Amino acid sequence: MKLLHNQFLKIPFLCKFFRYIGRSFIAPILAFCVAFFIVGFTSHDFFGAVKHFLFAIFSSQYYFGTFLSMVGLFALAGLGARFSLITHNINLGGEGQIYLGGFIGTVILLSFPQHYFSFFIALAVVIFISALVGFISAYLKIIKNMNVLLSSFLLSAAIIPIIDYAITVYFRDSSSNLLSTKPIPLLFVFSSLLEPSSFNISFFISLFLVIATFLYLKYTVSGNIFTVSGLAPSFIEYSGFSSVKIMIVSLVFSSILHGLTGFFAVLGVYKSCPQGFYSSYGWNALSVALIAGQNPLGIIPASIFFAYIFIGIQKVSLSSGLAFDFGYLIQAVMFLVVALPKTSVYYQKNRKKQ
Amino acid sequence: MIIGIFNNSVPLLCATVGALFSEYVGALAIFVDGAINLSAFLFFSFCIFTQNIGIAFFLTLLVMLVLIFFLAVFTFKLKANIFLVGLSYNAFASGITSLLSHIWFGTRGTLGEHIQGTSVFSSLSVAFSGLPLSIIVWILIILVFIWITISGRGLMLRASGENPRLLKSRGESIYWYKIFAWLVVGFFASLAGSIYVLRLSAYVPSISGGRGWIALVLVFLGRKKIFFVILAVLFFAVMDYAIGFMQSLLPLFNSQLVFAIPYIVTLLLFLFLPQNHKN
Repeated sequence: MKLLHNQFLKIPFLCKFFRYIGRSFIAPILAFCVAFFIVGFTSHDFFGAVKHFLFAIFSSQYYFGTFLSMVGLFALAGLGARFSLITHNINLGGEGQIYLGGFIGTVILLSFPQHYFSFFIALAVVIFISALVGFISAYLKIIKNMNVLLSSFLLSAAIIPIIDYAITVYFRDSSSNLLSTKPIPLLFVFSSLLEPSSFNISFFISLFLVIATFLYLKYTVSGNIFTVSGLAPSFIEYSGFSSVKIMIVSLVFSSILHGLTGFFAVLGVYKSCPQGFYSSYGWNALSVALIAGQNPLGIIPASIFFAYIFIGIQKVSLSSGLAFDFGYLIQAVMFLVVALPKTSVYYQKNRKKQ
Repeated sequence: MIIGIFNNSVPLLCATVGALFSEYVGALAIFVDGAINLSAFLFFSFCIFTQNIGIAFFLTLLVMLVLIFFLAVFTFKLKANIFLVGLSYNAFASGITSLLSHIWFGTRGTLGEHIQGTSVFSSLSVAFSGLPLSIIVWILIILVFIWITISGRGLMLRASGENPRLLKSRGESIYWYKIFAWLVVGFFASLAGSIYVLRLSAYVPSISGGRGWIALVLVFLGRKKIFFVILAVLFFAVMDYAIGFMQSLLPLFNSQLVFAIPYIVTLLLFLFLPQNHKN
């Protein structure tokens, strides 16, 4: 068996293939098993719950549309998380950035409800403020050498309660029982393309941005520099490029894409800015980006997988009364598998022997 | 007031000491916050099941240390990314707490004895969790710091992060030092989680209030020096006390805004205090 394994490892193509399989497929498969196991064993009706979980997205037009809408938002937020990962920084502030984008966009559209032009003002302000948040993390890294992981998380953790406060005290819709702002004027709302779900044009914008990023990183010189800066920052420095500038750009773009996710979510899904709407996007976006790996196109299947799992959970929760959040357990499995190095220690040992 | 600040500082001090240990060995434990929350839930649950606070603490410690031991072996043996492993642990802590709370108590919200109909916690346990327990924890932490500063093993542990070659040349295994440091994190996180539950006589989801994350930043604010780290913790304890005092004086001082203050202050401190760039 050992001999067979060693012979197997000598075939470079198979080696490469299985190492790729290991990172890209084992995590989702394990996550799926976890979800399946929990759904099956915590509900009273095992087969009913499993059926609801597996076929949720095909059960009605509403669920299928919601699934597509979720794919779009996960893809956009995942692309944001991917941007920071390119330069080996982990942006943990996704939740706060998404919330901020959604909140600012809503406030501007509510303040100037009568002109089409307000949409572009809101979009510009969301991009600017989000960029600023990303820049603060980059600045703290450059000036104080503060880990981006910590600074982005702290910023996000500070932003969230402030927005909660603003919604509760200043912008709450007094005619509703929900903790939410007033509804966004219909003029600006992304209309549904698959009634009664929230599937809207933001799905196509997200896919376009993912594909455009892939083409940019793959086929342009500046895109190649960007990619290499994460893999070999010293090489980039010796070649006369500034890795600091590239890091700033990556964090700013990461934050902008998160902000846009929030903006699109309020325009297309919520039609207002409800308190805490960010909660299912931030960490899942990071999971999507980690599963996707180096290739931005990987974000699309990763988003489809996550949306499928979460719609399944949503359906089971409604039908079987599972009142707990096991999305976290799925994330835990994902992170743990992705945490493993690209090349296993066992493989390295075998290479040394050879 | 001084006693209040002294008591306030203890859970954060525990979290920070754990984080400092992990930073000494070069494997910063991102999972401190999750570990505090999970240990608090386990401690509360074991208190309800065993009706004995001492046994509950022992069981919590046991579960946490076993869990972190396996996590550390997985991480350091397979050379996994410590940050992602830490995030995984935090997500696991949130998920498993929600799941077990649903299975054991039928809710994932606040757990109190009035809901469970038991009487493990008393005015005595609350009183013990105040000044007496704070004094015990402070003494323990001072002893730990004396050990790490004076003893040979302590010096080795500190060197394992900064100068691993030195340890290798002396035939020492960095691997075990890293595992030991993560176990220390688990021990102090369990202590912090248990203190939170004892003081409230209840379990609240995310009971740590993000203190685990602040502890990580305090390690760098204190430039990884024991004395400065303790100073940073005391500063935060003073701030916590002041916020509580302001809330009692000004009822309009919104509780949602209060959640933001520790994070904003941490960022501002990091921004304006001079830093050792090597950190």
